Amino acid sequence: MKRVLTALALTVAGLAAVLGFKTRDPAAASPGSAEAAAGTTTTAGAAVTSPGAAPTTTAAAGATTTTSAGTTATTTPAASTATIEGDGPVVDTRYGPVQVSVVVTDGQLVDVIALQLPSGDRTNVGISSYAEPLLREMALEAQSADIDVVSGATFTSRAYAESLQGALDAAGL
Amino acid sequence: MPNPCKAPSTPPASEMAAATRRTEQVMGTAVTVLVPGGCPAALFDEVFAWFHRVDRTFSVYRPDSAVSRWREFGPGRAPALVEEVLDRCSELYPATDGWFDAWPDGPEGRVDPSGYVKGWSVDVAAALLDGAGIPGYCLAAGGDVKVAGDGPEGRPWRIGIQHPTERMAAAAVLQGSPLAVATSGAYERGAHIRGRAGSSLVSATVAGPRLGTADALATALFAADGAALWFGRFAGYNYLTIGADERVRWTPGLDACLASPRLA
Repeated sequence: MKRVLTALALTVAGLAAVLGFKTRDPAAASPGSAEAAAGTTTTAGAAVTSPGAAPTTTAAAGATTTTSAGTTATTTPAASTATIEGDGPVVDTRYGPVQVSVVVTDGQLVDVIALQLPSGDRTNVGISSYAEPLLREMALEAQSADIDVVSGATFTSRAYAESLQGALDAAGL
Repeated sequence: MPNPCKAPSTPPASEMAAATRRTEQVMGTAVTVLVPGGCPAALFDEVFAWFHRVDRTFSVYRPDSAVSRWREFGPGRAPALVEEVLDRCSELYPATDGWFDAWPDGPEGRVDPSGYVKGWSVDVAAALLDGAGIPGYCLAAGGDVKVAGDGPEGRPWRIGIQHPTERMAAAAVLQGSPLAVATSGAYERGAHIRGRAGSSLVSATVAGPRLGTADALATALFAADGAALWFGRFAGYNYLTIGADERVRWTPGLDACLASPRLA
C-alpha cells in the first residue's frame, strides 16, 4: 500500500516538476481574497445548539467574539494563467492498474483525475475546484453563520480511536 | 445519485405540542435528536431504544455483546444485524484500498466494526423518523451528524465543521438535505496517537447520503493522510480536509454544500 502511494506521489511530483509546478507561497492568500485578517474567530459554543423548548426562538449558545491580530495577507500575482493537463504513467498495483492525470492552473496543482482505477472507473477525485484557502480565511467566513450542530472528531468513543489505530498499524505507519 | 446538497423544499413544520429534542448518553457518546416540528415521546423512545440495542449488540466493552462473543468464539450464530454490519465492513476494506480496516489484527484477528457502527446506527434511526413521517430532523452522535428536511424556523440545517485548534469556532459550514457528515481528526484525541508523527492532516470530514459510509471514509481518509485516489469510487460523497499547514482542501462536489458566504 505504501509503495502504491509512494509511486503515485512520485508520479504527481514528477509531472509537477515537468510542468513547472510551483508550490504556492504559504503567506499568500488565495486569489480573489484581497485581504484576510489573520485573527482567530470564535462562534457558537455548544456542540448542539437548538431552539430548545421554544420552537419559535433560535438560541445561539455562547457569545460570538472576534479577536483580530490586525495583519493583512496580500495576494501574490499569478505567474501565468495557463491551465495544463498531464497524464502520468500506468502504475500496476496489487489492486490493478492506476493512472492519474494532473491539472495545473496558474502554477498550482488544482486537480487530480484518475484515468484508471482498479474498479475500472474514470473518476474525478479532484483536490479542489478552487485554490486552497487557508483555514483562517475559511473560519472567518464561517463565523457569521447560525450553526445548528457541529461535526468533529470525538475521543469519547475509545473504540473509534482504536479502530483508527488499527488502520494505522495495518498501514505500517 | 441525486446530489444530497440540493435541498428539496419542504413545507414549514407544523405546530405540534411535542418535544423538539432529546439527548442521551449511549454508545460511549452523547446522542442528540432534534425535531424542530416536534416529535411524539413514543417515537423518541423508539429511536433511543434502537441506539441502546446497538450498544448492547456491538459494544466491544460489553463482554456479553454479540460482537464480543464473535471476537471470543467466532461467528457462531451471529444476529442478522451483526452480519449486515460486518458484510459492509468487508466491502469497505478493499474499496478504501485497505485504509478502513475492521480487522486491525488481521483476517484471523478480532473484529472491531466500531468505525462504521455509530454512523450506520444513525442511518437506521433516520429511517425510523422518515417512516414516521417526520419532515425535518437532525441526529448527532458524538460529532457525526445526519440531517433531513428543514431545520429550525424552516431554514436549512447548518452543520459546522469543528475548527481543529479553536474549540469554539467552525472551520466551515455545510448545508443540505438529506446530508450526513462525519469527521475524523487528531485534535480531540490528543496529539499522541501512535504513528501520527509527520502527519500532514489534522482532520478529515466526509459528507454524503449515508452516515455509516461517511464515518468509515472519514476514518480511512484521515488514516491515509488525504492520499485517497480510492475516494472517487464513492459516488455522492465528498470530503474536506484540513492540513497541519492550514491548507483546506475539498472535492469539487462539496461546493454545493458549502454555506460559507465567499465559498458558496
